Amino acid sequence: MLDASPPPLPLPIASPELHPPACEVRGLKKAFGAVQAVAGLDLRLPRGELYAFLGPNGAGKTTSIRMIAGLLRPDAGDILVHGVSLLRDAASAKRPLAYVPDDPVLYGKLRPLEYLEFVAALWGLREATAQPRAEELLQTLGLWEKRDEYIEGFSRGMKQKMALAGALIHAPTLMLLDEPLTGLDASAARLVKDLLNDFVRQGGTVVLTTHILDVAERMAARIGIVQAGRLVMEGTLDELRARAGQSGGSLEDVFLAVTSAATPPALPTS
Amino acid sequence: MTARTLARQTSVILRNDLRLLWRDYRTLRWRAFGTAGLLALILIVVHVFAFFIVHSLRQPPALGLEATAWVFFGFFMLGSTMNTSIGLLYEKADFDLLLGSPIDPRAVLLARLLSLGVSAFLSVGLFLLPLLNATSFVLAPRYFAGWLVWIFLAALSASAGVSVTLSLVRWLGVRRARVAVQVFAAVLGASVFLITQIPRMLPVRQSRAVFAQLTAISQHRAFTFLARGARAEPLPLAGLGLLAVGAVAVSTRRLSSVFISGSQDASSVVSPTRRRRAISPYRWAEGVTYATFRKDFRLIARDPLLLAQILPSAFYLIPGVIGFGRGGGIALIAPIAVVVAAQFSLLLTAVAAAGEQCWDLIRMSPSAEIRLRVAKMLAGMALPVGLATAICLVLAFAGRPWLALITLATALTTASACAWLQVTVIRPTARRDVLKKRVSGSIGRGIVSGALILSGALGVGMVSRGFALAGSVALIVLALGALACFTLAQPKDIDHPGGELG
Repeated sequence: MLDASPPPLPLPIASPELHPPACEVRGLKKAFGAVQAVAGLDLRLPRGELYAFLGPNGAGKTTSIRMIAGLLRPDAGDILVHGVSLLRDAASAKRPLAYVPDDPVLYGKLRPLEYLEFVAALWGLREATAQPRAEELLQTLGLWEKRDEYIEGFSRGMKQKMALAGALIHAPTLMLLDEPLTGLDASAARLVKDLLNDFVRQGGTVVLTTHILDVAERMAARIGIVQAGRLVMEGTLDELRARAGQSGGSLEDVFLAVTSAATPPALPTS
Repeated sequence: MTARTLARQTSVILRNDLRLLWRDYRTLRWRAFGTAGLLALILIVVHVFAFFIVHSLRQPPALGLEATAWVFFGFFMLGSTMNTSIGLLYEKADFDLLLGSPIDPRAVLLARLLSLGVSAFLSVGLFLLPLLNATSFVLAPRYFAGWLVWIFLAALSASAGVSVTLSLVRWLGVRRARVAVQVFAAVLGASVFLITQIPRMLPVRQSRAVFAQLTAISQHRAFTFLARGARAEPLPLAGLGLLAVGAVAVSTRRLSSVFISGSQDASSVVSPTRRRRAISPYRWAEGVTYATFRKDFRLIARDPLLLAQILPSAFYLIPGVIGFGRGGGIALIAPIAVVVAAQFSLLLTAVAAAGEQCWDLIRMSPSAEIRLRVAKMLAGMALPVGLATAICLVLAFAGRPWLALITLATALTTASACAWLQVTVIRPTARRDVLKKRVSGSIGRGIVSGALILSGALGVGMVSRGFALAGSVALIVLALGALACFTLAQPKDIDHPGGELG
């Protein structure tokens, strides 16, 4: 019989002073026909940081994240994951990566453990590591009681948690999350936020996109705002306030001031 | 609600459906012209053929023959309606909008019924249109009445199809009805085929007697009702018209409540898994090939709709199985084992490969893609090869162990070569559309697969009848063909939108 109170989730431990950074993006560009979705994106994400990627609809957030996840080929630029180029050595670069899309597609006719077994095998995990970890993840995320049901019967929030379990099964060090709190109820949202904070505390790096600015304001160490495929502002909340001339304002004030400007201000150079 | 309001509301829905259909067609761009051109070419060829045949007849065909043809077209339209009815009735994305609006649900059902009628009408167009034109222009203008019979029959088929579908929805719920309708339509089609094959399946003397009985039935007044209508006899034509209008009116009026409750049921997802009292410990699989095989096999085995779409085609092999009573003996089932293994492996592998649901997950992983392809191929082959093995066991227990062994080896070779062709070129497609859009059927791969299946079935067929040399030649051709498939057909990049990284 399993313990009612789940054990803490084992998360990767990495020393923050290790180099190179968890992720480095250089001059990333992507166009879909005549539409320039991403127009020269540069990012540098150190280990152990939660980075919020904000922007209005159609700004290029999801396209950027999908390129970093290795799901879209950029037209130009390079992506380095722990110093390994995703374009030159995709298999090695993908090993520490995890990506959860905003509307995750799962195998409806699989049960949770069956799904996690497949994901673990994709990342080459041994049974001795994968099975206990899968069981822990299901307990931590409150899905253990549902382990004998098909995923197709899960609610949207449960599917979101299932996708998160799949993303965490191989103990990634860089997580890319597209709107991770969509469809979650208050307690599930709190659970996910705690999980992400723990992950970052233990040296993991998280890049998340969200339209819930309150979440970004409270969780993110640094925030990047994209508009029309360009990173128009980046920094801590205080730095953003100062640059946007919104001292004392909320992230919402800063965001609206930056994104409603007719001409996006040039990226400040440090 | 007045009939006028109902008509107006129905026209609003139909106009929107037509607009969406036209937009879909326009997205095909040049391919749309290609498809239309090909269709026109086929129609011209079939017309020439039909005019030639009818001209050579010089006199109208027997009424019984015409009646049989009309009944066949009627069954075909009914099968087509049932195949599309659940999709059109319950899987359109606009239900929440339509049923949440003040539009009468009967207008929604009527619009869907008319769409089904049009689709039933068009489903036989390629054959019926040339025949009608040929008989009308060459034999007698009265055959133009066939157009009316065609329209009435389409309306009747749509009403009957919807009635059967909605009855199944009422008894079984949408999820199970979806499977039942597929099986029902497949059995219906196979039954028509089997009836035509009865004389072939029986010993010669009985076959003649049955043929005589079938001929007598085909000339009965009730059976020739449609054919007499198509020859412009006023009474059958008017009767058929009244029947069609009445069927549409009754279906729309009586079935709207079942339709609404079904649409509410369709939007809710209920896991069919029964809770077990004690959950047994999970047996974990290790290794990407084995785990992928298990995953894909589970997805196939747990998809009753998919199996319902594929497995009933085995009915078409029944005449061959029964035919052994006419002199071939039990050995005649050997080629059937090869056909079952190869044809079903081909289709199920296409579903497992092109119908993969989580491409993002797979593309994100650092796994070697070739292992995933092989695992998908094995998962697609597992069930059909299992069926073929069962047939081979029957052969072995019937006293032909060597033939059983040769058949099993041939079935495995043919199935693996056909399945391999399906995983070398993968075009990601929504799982439910793989069979519908014939993703498995690019012309080149179709021809090669067909040739392999033919060689295999011919080879074991010859061997089973004692023509060892001719059989061996066919089997060597198969082996060389399979070898060529494995060496020449190399896996191509999967055509993902946006391109691959790894």
